[in-house]
Amino acid sequence: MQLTSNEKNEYKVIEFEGSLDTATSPAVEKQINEFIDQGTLKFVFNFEKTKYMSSSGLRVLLATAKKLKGKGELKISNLNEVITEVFDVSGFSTILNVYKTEEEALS
Amino acid sequence: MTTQLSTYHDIRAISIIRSFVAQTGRFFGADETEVHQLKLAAEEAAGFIISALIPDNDENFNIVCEPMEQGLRFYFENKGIPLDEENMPVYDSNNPTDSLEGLPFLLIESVTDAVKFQNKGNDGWVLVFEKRFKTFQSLQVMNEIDPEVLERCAKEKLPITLATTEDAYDLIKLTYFTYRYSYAKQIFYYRKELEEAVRSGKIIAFIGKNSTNEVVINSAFFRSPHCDTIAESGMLMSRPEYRRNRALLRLTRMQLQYIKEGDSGIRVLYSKLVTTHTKSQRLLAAYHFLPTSLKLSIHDQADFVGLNTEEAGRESLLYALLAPNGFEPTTLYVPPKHRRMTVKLLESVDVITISTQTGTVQNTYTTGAVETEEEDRYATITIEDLGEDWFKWLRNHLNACDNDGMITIHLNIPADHPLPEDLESKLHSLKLFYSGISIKTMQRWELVYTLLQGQHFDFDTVALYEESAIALRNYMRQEYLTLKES
Repeated sequence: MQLTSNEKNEYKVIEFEGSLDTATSPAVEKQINEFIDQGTLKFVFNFEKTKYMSSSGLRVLLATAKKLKGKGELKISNLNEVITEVFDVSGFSTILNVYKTEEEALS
Repeated sequence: MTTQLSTYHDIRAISIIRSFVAQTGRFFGADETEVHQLKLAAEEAAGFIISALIPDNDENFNIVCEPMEQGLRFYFENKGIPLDEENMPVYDSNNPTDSLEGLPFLLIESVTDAVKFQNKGNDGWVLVFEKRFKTFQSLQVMNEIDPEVLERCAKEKLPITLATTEDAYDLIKLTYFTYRYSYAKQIFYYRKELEEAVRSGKIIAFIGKNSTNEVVINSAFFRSPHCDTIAESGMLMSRPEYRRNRALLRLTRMQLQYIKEGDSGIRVLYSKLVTTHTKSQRLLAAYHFLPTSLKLSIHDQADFVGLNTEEAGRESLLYALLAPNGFEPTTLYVPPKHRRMTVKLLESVDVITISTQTGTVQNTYTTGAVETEEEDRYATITIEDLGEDWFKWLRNHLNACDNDGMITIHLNIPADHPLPEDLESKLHSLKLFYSGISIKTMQRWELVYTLLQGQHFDFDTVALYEESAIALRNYMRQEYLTLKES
């Protein structure tokens, strides 16, 4: 899993490329926590290039949302078909703030 | 048929497990969405199981996949903390933080068609999930030959020639395409030995080659180890896609013509025909092979690639003989009880006389040999010369075979001299029953007897074509039942 981050409209936009699964989730979570510890509190997670996500990935998203609750913001965008299915089944589509596109999330 | 993966019980091995499940799904026709769902189910199942394992456990992580109707069933071995089936964690999307433990099960359930746990006692637990595919491709469908290919191969011209040593590897490949690794004649899997047999004339193979110069059909003569003028006819092989090609018949006709012309020196052909189906029996009946003996329960069945055979426990073989230029005049001595059956077997052969004359044995000691096939639990006892001690000699060898675990024993007794008057009653006391006659050398014919140790043999599983072969089977069944009741 490769993370690419950009600053846009006060948000840190992170693009996730690859699979967010049992093997990659710990490193991803660590990286996100470092951003938060460094003072970033507004995120857009762009999953356009994410091929696959398991419950481990969902855990990371939930933990991030929990950390930012009341002091920051987490927006999710560009879910593809297979990840939308995981979000829908788990109810994460309503638990998290999900946007169709990155632009929508930033607006 | 299953496919299996055994890997490390380690969270880092999950990507291996996921790939295995996904690739197996692809192999059986899963589309990309279904492959993704399989990956997710595999990861959630493996993650749950591996995380529940106590670290000092050095067991491997095993997954078995078996095809089912329209899909696959995966078994994930679980040797972690025992499951509490009644209190499995349940995910609640209204309270995800406190119920995340149940999320893996929810995901597995949502992307598969069934999930269950099986308690295996000391073997732990098994997590089973099933997944059906929109366009499931069964192994049977995958192995089916394209009808267009069948049609083309059926019409293809296959020039027939005698095999040379250069064809040995192609013959080995043809054996593989016909039988995989189940063919009884081991020489057809060893190149150097096969080359030597072809070079020396021990094997005379007629082959048909296709347009790409590959050997695709074969039938061969295999000279008897006892007599150069007698040969086994058989080893009929064909790539499955060429089974309907009429070149097989042409090849067989050429073989018989070759024997009739006499250049090979072969005078008598014998063939061992399987009895799981009657296809080869029909073919040889057309060439007037005579069924002469039935060897029951010899070995496990050979696998004919792409050919359905009737279900039976062990293979029995029908022995049939042909002398294209006629048999040599001879007299066969048989116990009076079996004269009628023997006459029926040889009724079309004028030059062989069947005699029931009895006589005393000339030798003091019996000579003979015992051959055993340990894997098949099958033995052949051949008496070369009957001596005064023949009954004791035979009983000792039968006991030795029994001790060695042989369950089928065939006995060959020379039939070229008058037999002892009490031969039949003594063989009966040893539970041996008449099974026909066979030829060993041009001068020596043998009576064949059978002993089935503790087998419940079902004669109805022996599929036969010719009327005389069926008569022999029925006669043997009666003999066998009489023995069992005595």
